[in-house]
Amino acid sequence: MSSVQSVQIITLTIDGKPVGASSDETVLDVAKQNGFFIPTLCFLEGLIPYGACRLCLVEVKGSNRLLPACMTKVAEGMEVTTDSEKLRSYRRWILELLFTERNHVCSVCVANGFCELQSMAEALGMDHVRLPYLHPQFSVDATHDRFVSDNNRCILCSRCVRVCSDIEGAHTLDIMGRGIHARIVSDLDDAWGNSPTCTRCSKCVQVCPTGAIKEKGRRSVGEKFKRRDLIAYIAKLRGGEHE
Amino acid sequence: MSKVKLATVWLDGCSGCHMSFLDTDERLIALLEHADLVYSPLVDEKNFPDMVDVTLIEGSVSTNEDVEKIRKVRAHTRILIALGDCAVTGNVPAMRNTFGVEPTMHRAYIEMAQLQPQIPTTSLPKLLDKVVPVHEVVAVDLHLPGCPPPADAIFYALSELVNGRMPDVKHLTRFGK
Amino acid sequence: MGATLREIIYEIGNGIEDDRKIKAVQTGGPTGGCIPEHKLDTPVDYESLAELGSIMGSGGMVVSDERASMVDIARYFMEFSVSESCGKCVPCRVGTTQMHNLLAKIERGEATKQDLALLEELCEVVKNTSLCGLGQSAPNPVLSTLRFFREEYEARLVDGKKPKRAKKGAQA
Ligand code: SF4
Ligand code: SF4
Ligand code: SF4
Ligand code: SF4
Ligand code: FES
Repeated sequence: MSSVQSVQIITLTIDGKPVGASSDETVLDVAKQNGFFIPTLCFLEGLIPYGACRLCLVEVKGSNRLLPACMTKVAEGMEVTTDSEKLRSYRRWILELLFTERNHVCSVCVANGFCELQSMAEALGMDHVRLPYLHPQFSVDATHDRFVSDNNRCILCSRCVRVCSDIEGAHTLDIMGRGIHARIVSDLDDAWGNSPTCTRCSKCVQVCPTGAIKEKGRRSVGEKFKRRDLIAYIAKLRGGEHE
Repeated sequence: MSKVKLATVWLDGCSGCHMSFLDTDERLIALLEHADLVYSPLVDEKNFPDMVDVTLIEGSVSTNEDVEKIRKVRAHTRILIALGDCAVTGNVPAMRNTFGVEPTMHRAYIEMAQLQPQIPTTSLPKLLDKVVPVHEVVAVDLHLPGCPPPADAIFYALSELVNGRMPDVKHLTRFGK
Repeated sequence: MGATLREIIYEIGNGIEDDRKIKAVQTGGPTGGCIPEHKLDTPVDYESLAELGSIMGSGGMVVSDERASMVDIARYFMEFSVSESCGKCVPCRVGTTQMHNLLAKIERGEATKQDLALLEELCEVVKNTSLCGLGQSAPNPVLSTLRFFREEYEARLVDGKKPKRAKKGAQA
């Protein structure tokens, strides 16, 4: 109850426009409510914010660093800038880095047309990648009878890990290895098909922004079906247990 | 006003981008009132002309022959357009980069061969170690992603260019479109 | 604290083997910066080192003599950041690898002016967008060697300025 009392109504400005907010909201929440667009990839409504993609970085007056909108709580008198030449350049770079990191061949990808990485590139006008592609070799785990995990398309947003652990409570998926070698594994890097923990709930499939986790049976390009909004719904039903 | 000199070049691609160019259908006739197609797989001309206003490149750079060709084309072109995902990203041809030249050749000419499995040593240009997008070899003025880029995007880009404007095609196409 | 780099190297450390000339001192561990010989009289404190684009960091010091290649040193330290990146955030996870590859390309003498421009831009991106101190400071060795030894980078570019005394071909 005490947490309810401590929430205050405050005002801040976003791109010069004064907006009201409650002090437990993030910059991203408030920006969205007021019609400002801040690009995001690792953030998903209903999951605990993670702050890893850095796409949502904004400028906050008085801070010498850029702050991730998805992780930053609003404060009285805060002055937020969501769009500037510098931010646009950084966001474009981040997308370019993601495209070079793994093997993204949109034309033959299950997620073609349904992919958040791809549509973000379109929305931010990233039409070519200036750095060389790294072309790493990752194996595909197709041992599960319903799902396939393909690290070649993964952006390590950890949405699948968070949904599996925090919403489903199974914690089958996790990230193994560090740096450029990090990858999604199930259990202790075993075949997904042998997982004793996976409940086959398909939540990871629904939240994955790219073609890295897909459902079997949908074989051709652009057939990846998504219900990303379901997770926010489930989290709401549970009544904010992450607060 | 003299007509704009237009060329198209086919590197390592499937010809789909050229097909999409032809898919502009009757609009092509209107376009050719303002432009001459001076060099292309679609016209009978063996040598790249001295100076071309706009050149569309389909396909990635995959062999030493592609490198030579693209350098020459760049030197004789005012506005160079990377047409389609292969030219812009490397796309499907670049999928071999993960495995390397040797295993790729072995897969194609030995494992998959039904008759006389052998790796060709003559008549084929030498494969580069890595397939690269056009802009890694020469400067590119405009990127038109898509596999293939929609005919509407190609038509819009060309009609702007023949009218002396640099088109913004970012919202007409994307990777994989 | 407060002693100059020169005092530390020559008085405490007994100077350089075979009396070779010092080229640069790298302070603060692998994500620190390189300080050139002519700044050796800088006192070792937080502010003075920060002014030169370096840090106190771990307090460690790596002294290079005249034979060292600064591009190689930057690449070497970047290799450390590549292996130390935890992999959570995009700019550090992918950016350090890409910076490392660009440095290696410059070292091999295959890079162009455009590659150098990309490297500089990427340093800014990784510095300003990474989540934690590791990524934020990973570009330091590149930025500080570029600040004081830019000509060493340029001399290795395919289309760069060659130093006057070097004969053609000797650079390759
Ligand atoms: S995951 Fe998205 S960006 Fe990657 S290849 Fe598939 S559609 Fe393209
Ligand atoms: S299907 Fe459900 S339990 Fe299994 S890995 Fe995915 S989210 Fe976890
Ligand atoms: S598999 Fe999908 S959801 Fe999981 S980290 Fe990779 S991109 Fe994100
Ligand atoms: S900056 Fe920090 S959080 Fe980001 S990948 Fe590097 S070590 Fe991890
Ligand atoms: S959405 Fe905020 S860091 Fe990814």
